[in-house]
Amino acid sequence: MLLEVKDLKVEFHTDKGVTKAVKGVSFGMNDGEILGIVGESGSGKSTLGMTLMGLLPGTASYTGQVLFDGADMAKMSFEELRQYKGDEISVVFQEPMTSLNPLIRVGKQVEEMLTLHVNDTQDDGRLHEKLTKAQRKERVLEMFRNVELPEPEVTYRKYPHELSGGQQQRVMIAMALMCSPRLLIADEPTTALDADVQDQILDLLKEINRKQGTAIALVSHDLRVIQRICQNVLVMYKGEIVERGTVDQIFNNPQDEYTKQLIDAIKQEPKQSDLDTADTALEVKDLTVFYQIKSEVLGQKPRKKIICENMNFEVRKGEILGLVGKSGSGKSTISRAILGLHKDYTGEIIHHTARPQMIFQDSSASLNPARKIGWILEEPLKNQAKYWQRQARAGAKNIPHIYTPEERKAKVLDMLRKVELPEEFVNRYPRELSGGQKQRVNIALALMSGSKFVIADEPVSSLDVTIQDQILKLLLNLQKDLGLSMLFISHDVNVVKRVCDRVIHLG
Amino acid sequence: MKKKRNYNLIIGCIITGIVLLLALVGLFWTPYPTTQMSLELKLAPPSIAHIFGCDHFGRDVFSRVMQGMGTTFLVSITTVSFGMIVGTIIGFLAGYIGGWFDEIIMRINDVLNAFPSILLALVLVSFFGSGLLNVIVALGILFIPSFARIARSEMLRLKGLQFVQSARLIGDSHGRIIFSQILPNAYTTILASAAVGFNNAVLAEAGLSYMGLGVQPPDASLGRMISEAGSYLLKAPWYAIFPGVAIIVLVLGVALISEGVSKID
Amino acid sequence: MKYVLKKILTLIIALLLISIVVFLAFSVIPGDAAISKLGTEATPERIAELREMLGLDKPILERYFIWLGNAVQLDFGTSYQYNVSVNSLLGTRIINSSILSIISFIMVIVFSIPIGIFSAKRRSVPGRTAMTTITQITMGVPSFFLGVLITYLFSIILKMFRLGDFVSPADSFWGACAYLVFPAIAIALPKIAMTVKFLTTSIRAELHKDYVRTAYAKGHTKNGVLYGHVLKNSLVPVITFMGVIVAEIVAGSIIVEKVFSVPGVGTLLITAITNRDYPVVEAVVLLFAFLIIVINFIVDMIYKIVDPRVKI
Repeated sequence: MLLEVKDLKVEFHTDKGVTKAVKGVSFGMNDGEILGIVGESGSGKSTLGMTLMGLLPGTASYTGQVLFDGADMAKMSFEELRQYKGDEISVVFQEPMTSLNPLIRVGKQVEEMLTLHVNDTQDDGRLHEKLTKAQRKERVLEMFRNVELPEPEVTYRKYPHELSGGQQQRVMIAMALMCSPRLLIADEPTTALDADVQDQILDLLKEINRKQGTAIALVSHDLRVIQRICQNVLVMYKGEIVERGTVDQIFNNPQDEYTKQLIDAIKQEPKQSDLDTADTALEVKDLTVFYQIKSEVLGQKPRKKIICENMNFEVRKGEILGLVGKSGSGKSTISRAILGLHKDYTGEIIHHTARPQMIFQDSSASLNPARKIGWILEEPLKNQAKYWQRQARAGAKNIPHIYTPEERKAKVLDMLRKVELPEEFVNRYPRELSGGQKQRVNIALALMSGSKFVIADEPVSSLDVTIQDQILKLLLNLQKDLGLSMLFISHDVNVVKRVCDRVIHLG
Repeated sequence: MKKKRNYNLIIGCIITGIVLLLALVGLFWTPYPTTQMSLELKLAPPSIAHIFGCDHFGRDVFSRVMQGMGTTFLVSITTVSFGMIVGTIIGFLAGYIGGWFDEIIMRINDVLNAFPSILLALVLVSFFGSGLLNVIVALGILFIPSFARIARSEMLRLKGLQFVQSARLIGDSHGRIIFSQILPNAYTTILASAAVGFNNAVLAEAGLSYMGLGVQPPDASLGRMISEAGSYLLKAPWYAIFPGVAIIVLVLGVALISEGVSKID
Repeated sequence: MKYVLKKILTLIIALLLISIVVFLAFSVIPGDAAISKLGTEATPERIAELREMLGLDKPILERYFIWLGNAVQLDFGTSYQYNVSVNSLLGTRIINSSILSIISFIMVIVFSIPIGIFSAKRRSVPGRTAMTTITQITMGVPSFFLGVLITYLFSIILKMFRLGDFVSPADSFWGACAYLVFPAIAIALPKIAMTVKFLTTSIRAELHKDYVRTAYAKGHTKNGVLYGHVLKNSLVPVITFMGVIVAEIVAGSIIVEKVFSVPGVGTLLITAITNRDYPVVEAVVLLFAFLIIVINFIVDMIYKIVDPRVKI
């Protein structure tokens, strides 16, 4: 057995107390095995990976045994452990851009591996001889060819920011493999990359495993990634392994409740559309959206950067139209143009419903961090009240009922119930909410003013799969109950297929 | 595990509290009249009656330090508040409106910001003339650019966030977006720079009065006291040391508070 | 190259702007130079005569262009107070002040980088608190008070120099340096503290970056990570900060020169301000402005060279 972990517990000590990240985990890995470790945020899967590498931050402590080739790494000093790092065990991280030193040429960063382990005391007869400068460079170039980096000589002299995300990750992999490690830990290696690049990197990992017999521990939140290259899988939930087995077992015959949820979330059936109305909520004709790029030289006309050209589509009443495109394809800019937040466009955008709204992607700032949820949700109603009061003073007829502050508060509570949040959330700040809860508030805010047309911009892409599932169900229910029309924007084809009546593709 | 004590904050608050008390009391009452001279007490060393000793006119140094701290404190708080309010408004507008307005404001700001505050203060004082009121005006103007720059960068950071776009969609007016949605998010940053600004103001005021351009005699000021004491260093080192320590303590207290505040989430 | 040209252009515009502001400011001050020179009791005829002599009767725009034309040729007119050309006043004083500033700057570089690294390496709570407190106190000491303390310690107690015994560098360069070391300490100490704090924060911030984790994963020692990877990155923002520090040193020298009676540009400026000697004030302010703008330009250029992410 290459790696054996016995009853591993990891705790983080912070100002707020102790968090148990890993609660007594045991498993083993054989030489040449590809083991998938899957779980959502907070499951402890990344902590587990970092523990194996001895890369836990100073605030963490752990107990248990980590036997690598029979030696207990948990008992080793920093110096003893150091001789394993990069040499026998290597790691590839999620964010290749930030994981590389921005000021050092990538070739040098990879080459460093060859000088680091020259004087290691352990004697296992692998690659510890001193190499000349030219030999080192030759080895790096050879490795660059192995990981299929274009023009190794040129790439050698480049800085990280001059490479694409996929190339950066290849450099990281080259670096990790430089000392022919026996175990490679890949911590979400493809999460930051576009879909087609993801596949290439996964294929590369599989190829390395096949050719060199390097065992790989692949940590990921994405079951599809695991399914693609792993033989065995551990499913982690809240710091524990809830299920383990071969990929086939886990996917076709999951035993644990949580595993079933995970599998269900990615195996959703596409939606069967039964819509038969011709009324439109939104018409877009010949829409060309662009950016004005200010010229560096004074007096020169600004350049136009075209986001999309001559788009034509319509959203029918009660329909969910999907808009799919890669990151950077301008999906969000188009939606902002439709809502009047982005002025640089030509063509026609005709709304047939009042007050179109947007559900934003959950981010740390999709809700005002300085305000309570109650205040945030009341804001649209306050604005409406102010508007009608002004109209009334100006002598306009047909003023609808203007809500009093009490009625407004009641409406906020009502809306919280609709998005299935407890009433006491009115007194919470956004930072006290989880990602899924924040997304519910985002939905509530968009619906607060009684809007019938909503644009949802990547509403679930930053959430865990099981939470995604809940939010999408809520969104579909609300859409049916309130008769909403929706433009649903996402990069994720699976999500779009599940939710939308019709789909259009961008770029 | 026990929660870590924020020592910076606690010590800073204690120091500032004591200094503030002395300074504010010093504006209205001091143990001895600050201008009461006495030949016998000329350069008297510290004693129970005069804990900081006496100066070359036999005036009580402790009383004069109290009054000097009061003046310095008042000058600093006024100028920083003025600079903060005006600077924040200018910076917010520049950041929010953008375009040529922003260009012009920020080019002027860049030039002014490159200059150390004491140098600009000197230029302004030579323009307005010396004296306490002129120093206040000069320093007040002086602090506008740094706050404008910070407020602007805060505005640029916050303006791009989603909740601001969302505020526009739900029908918030520009005024409401700036003051109700964005401003509360910028408080901490602006107040933190106010602490830095306060310390700069203390040092600038003391420096100007050291050069004889600030508070005019016979009123006490910390800088001028150090300047005068320079001639009596051999006989009466305490005369220079106590006002100097007063300045350091004034600055240290606020610095520790801002350090401590920055460590709170 | 285009970038450099653009930078130089903005540099010239900034200088022109400053010159206009400086000139206008001192032109609209109530009670013009003629009066301040002759006193308020002078007869109107005498004042008018002097105004004509000083060129104060011409329209302001014309006066500005005459002044600017002269300034470009490095002629800043005649001092009201001393009745000699501003240039002759500035000459040796610029050299004295430059030596003082350079010594101070060298002190800042030599001391702050090792102390900054030392400070960033403190991990224990007492170690950190001690370093913070020391830097905070040092930052808060006004340089002129530091000057007084240094005078007391090195001149009165240790008798290492005598206040006012400054030798001109023309007579003895090293003699001048030996004297200027003391005011330089007064200028440099607070700046060292500022730089130490800045560098410490910068290093600590870098230590949390992902590439540091990579470096550990490669099997680096702690020092290997610090000196091989972190230090280079954390020094990049320090370059920009050095621009601020140099400007602060130049400004700090004004007041410290007075403490140590160094015949430099600073002492000249203070006397000129007290005596409303505007040609001198204008010249010195313009000189400082020029210096600071050039320093910022140099800092910008160095930054571009060091950081490959910024394109020229």
